[in-house]
Amino acid sequence: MKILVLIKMVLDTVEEIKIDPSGKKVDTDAARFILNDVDNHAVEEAILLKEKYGGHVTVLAVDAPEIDDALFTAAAKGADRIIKVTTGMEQMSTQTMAKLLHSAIQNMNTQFDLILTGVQASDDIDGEIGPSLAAQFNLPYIGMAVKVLPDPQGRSTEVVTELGGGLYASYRSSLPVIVGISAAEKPPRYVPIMKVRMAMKSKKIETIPAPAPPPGSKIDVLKLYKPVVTGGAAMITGTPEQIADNLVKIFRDRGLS
Amino acid sequence: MDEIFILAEHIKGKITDTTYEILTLGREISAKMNRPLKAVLLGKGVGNLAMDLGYADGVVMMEHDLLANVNIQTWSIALMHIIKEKKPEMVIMGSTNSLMGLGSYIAEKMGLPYMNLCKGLRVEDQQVVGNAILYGGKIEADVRPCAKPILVSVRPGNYPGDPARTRREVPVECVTPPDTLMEAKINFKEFIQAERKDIDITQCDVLVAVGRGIQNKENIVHAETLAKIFKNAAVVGSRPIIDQEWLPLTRLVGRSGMSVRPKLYLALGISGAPEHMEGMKGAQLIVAINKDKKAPIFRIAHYGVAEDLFKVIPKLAERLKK
Repeated sequence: MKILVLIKMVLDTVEEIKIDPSGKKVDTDAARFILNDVDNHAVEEAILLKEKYGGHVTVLAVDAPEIDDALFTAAAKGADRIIKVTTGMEQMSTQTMAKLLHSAIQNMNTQFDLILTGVQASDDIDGEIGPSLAAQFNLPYIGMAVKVLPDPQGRSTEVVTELGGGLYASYRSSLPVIVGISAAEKPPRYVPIMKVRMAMKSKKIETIPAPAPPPGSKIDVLKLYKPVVTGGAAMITGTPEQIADNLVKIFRDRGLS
Repeated sequence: MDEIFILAEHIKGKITDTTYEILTLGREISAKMNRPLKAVLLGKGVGNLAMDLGYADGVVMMEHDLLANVNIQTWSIALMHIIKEKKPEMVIMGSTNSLMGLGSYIAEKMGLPYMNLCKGLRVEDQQVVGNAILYGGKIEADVRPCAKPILVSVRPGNYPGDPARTRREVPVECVTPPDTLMEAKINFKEFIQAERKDIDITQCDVLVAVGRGIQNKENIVHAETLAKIFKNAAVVGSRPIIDQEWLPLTRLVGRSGMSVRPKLYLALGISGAPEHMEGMKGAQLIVAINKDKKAPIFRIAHYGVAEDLFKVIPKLAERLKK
């Protein structure tokens, strides 16, 4: 089975996020980039499928800060090919990124059976990668997947999706299909830094130059801003002891302890 | 022409809560723009659900076996056909698990603008502006579509659903399913309800919730110590905690897990991603401890402590035991 995984870097939302002076984009110079968490799950699901059924895993990304690390880490986990699309663009909308990936995949001349990607990202302002790509390739798309169960003949697959509240829905799709992963069947594995370093020596990141810049987004960002806090929490300050005393009083006043 | 559409979502024969929320929003927009509000109902044998959408001025319905249960592919084909036939001003849908991807797919296929991840919409000079929540709730954006019809997805929990729960007879326009429906490659198989082998966290009075800030599996014991002091309490977690298998899936609070309304929700090291807050914002009392004073959780918490949780918890446990 030939599996393609699409990954992207996102801003680490644990850090403070600054807005560019233009007011229309984030300031990436001041930001820390991490691999989109659900994309990490998509890599894991691909490696699990390869381990179970055999096959070949390619991981593809559009160039971004720290992307080389993410690609080498995927290789250390078992990805066979790692590729990035070089663009010279600093920021782009999800729709634009999906268009770049579409032309890159066309240039690869490989027939993939399964294309996996994270179901969403925190900056998906005009769409998600998976369905946007599915529309361009005229392929079926299933999102919120927690299980991918291909049949032994490799002609179709069952996909289990999570609806919330303990309810799941399962679907059957012919292959190829694009699947938006919400969680891999097992937690993403940890790879020791030594293995990543070995991958850096033994694997090469292939590069595909992006074609002419694709058309921009169909929505205009008027402005970005920090959320306006109305109300918000009454903050309790002091020493840990004072804080604990205050909290206990709040709980007891409400008959909670 | 130029009507405001909302896409009705139904699961196991019931209109979802989010559908009522976007009906409320749709009514607000339709009043401001002076346009009729219609609910799009896709399914099979769902005529009886049309009455549940009585808050709208009418229902646009398409029925087919392949539309019976929510299915991104068949529902996209159906909705695209309806958009072509009816040419609405905009289509508002819920940013829910079952519909995730639908807006994006149609936007790309039809070359339409899609405002994703919105918490609200407003009308300025007869133009719609979307208010999106990005980067885990740390940044918001005002966005404007460059073409029409406009596709919008709205996050659950931002509009009241109750005003829209109006049962009445409404005019129903039936649209014939297009032949392209037969080209769908995805078939709905079945719903699966997870067996409950654990306590039901929706029935607890107190939930001690842990997030990434708890740092490792061993530290969960601190939350358990606290939970044991309260009556009818349990430890729950946000997505990263469950994904790491530090807590079982039955303890997941948020969009993909449970929606809870305990008497006390004590959030430890939880930043407050929108998907998590959807599942707990209805708690009677929310107390958050997180050393990042800008964590979004403090926006919905009643009380906040911007301190190292490992310094506060032992003192809190000690005093609660007294």
